[in-house]
Amino acid sequence: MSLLYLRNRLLNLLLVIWIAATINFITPRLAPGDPINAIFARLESQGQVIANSAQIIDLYRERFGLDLPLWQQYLRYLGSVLTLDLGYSLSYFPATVSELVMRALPWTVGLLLTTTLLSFVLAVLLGALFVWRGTPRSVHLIGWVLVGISAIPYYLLAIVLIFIFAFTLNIFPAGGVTRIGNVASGLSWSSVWDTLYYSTLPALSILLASIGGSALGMRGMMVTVLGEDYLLLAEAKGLPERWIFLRYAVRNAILPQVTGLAISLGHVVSGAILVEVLFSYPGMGYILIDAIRGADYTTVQGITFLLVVSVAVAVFIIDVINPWLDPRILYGKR
Amino acid sequence: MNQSYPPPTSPTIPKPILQVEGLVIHYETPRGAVQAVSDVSFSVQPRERFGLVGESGCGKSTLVTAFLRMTKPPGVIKAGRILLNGVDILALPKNEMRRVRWSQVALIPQGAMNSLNPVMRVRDQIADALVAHGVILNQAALTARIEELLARVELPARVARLYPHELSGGMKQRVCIAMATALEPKLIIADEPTSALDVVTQRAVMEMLANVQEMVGAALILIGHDMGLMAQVVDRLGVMYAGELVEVGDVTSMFKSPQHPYTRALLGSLPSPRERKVRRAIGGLPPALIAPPPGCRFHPRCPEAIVACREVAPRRLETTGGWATCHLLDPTQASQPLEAADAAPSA
Ligand SMILES: Nc1ncnc2c1ncn2[C@@H]1O[C@H](COP(=O)(O)OP(=O)(O)OP(=O)(O)O)[C@@H](O)[C@H]1O
Ligand SMILES: [Mg+2]
Repeated sequence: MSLLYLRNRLLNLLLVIWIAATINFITPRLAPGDPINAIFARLESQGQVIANSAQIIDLYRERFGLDLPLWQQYLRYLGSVLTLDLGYSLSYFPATVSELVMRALPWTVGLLLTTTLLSFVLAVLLGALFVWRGTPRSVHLIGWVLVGISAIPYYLLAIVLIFIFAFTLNIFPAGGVTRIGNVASGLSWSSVWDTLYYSTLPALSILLASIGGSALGMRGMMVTVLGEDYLLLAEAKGLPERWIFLRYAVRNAILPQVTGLAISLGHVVSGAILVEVLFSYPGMGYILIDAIRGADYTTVQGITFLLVVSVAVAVFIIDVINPWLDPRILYGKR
Repeated sequence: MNQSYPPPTSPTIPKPILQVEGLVIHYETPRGAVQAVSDVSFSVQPRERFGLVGESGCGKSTLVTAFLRMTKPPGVIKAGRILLNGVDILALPKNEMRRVRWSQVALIPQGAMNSLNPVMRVRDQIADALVAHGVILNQAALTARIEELLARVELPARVARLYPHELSGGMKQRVCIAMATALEPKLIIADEPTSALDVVTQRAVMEMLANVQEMVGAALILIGHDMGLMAQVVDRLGVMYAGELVEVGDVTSMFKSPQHPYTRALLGSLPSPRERKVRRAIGGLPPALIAPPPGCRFHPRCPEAIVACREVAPRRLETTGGWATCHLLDPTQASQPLEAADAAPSA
């Protein structure tokens, strides 16, 4: 019964990835022209003279398999996707998309994974405390300040933070990890320290921007749950307040938040464009915007594909743990 | 528990398990105070089954939630005393009140259908009451006790492992009953325990409730709308109207000769198969409790109202099996009918 459920979810996951890969394959082929011609045209228009370009073009077409029938190209493509070979970057040609991604991913995941999880925990706690009777006034005050801050447009918030912490107080850098040599490489105390030094301000900005909103969502769910009859019964049973709070109220109110968390975890790999640009932070968002600016289609496609896959995987994971969090789901969706 | 109980006053009259004196509860809303419970006094004896009836919104749930001191804002207990086993619960410290709940008085809330936590197994929901009150702490004893409680309401032991959504409405209701008896309380309050069930299941659940109550030797306060079902189960009946208790008496005499016109109207709206016509419901609507009518609150709808009903709140008067608050029973009231008074030219 639950194995069947698992199998269905898994098939669903593979289907989504296959569809995404196929769209990724078809879209560029709908555009007129041929990528290799386009590159040569671009190089020539920049004033470079390439001798016997026609031969070279044919050579490349053969090398990339563009002379094959479409279905063979498709199969080759699926094969390379399975091995996570996303092809060459058009802008940084000898470099592959995978190489670009591997360089940026640790930065992004390090920053966004931490902040997403931290923001989730804090928002859930805060949202729950908003509606709990015993909550001290100071928590309410902090909470509403955070809600207020989350209403500020993100770029403004980031600029204000940079102004205060980087320029006025000079505690954190205003970005600049992108410059090579700023961060000690390898795993050492100084590299950890450097990473923290460069990530704290972006992380702070993300937390400040996101906590208030999700806390309000949690608060709404708590209000709904507190009106449920099972809370009345729990209180009538003479359970200690803390039990009622955690095992009855928060436990039920948290369910939609967990789904939201899974989706945002899936988005972690695509990076946070605004954050990374504003703090010149060398993550996925940064190379994505760079690729879009430079018409580096293979990189854009590669990152988009990774995003689809990681969101699909996140949804799969949440589907698998959801029945454990909420027993009604497994039986309801069979 | 180390509470001091006052010595019994008299050996012949048993000490009531619940004694309510002059209880007043308001909901303080921006539009004004909703007088949901107005000067209610009554008592329930040990092992007694007391029924509480009245139209929707007359304050039944508000009244009984106060017996566990669980009145929620904007509800406020304005006046009165609630003695549970002789102890004034309104004066108890918070933590002691928590311990009184469920061990002395258990409540099966209205809408017991949704009274179980959807993400917890039945077992854990029964267990937490036992553990919270420090009754049982070891797992084996806990399992045995839970199985015993389920067996009381004729549920198989496997139910303990299920989640609420895997149970039928009747089963959920029985789980709630089993739960209510877990700590052998002295008083069980069931707020419309059968309202969402079909007639057959209603009877079964009601029987179960009565059996279990007898088994643990608790008193029972049963709220309901079905007068027929009430008549079969309870010993005494209290009738509420617009936040007031208007008549209390033993069930037989109340059904034989209801004293308050509202009680008569309630019984009159019972359908009977012998009389195959649509029974007359009580004319009019219950009053808004923000500004209840002066005098007797029932007088605008009362077919037998007299002049006094409009001006003076009726006293409590003894009847055969209890008491009622109605001017018609009061020999000191001159009984000029309302119509006659209205027809008479005003001076
Ligand atoms: N939270 C609240 N705020 C304001 N008024 C309330 C609140 N809860 C209940 N009331 C009012 O108090 C009165 C009594 O409500 P209560 O729920 O006790 O009635 P009831 O007799 O249990 O009705 P039912 O048979 O429908 O359950 C009603 O008029 C209701 O409108
Ligand atoms: Mg009610």
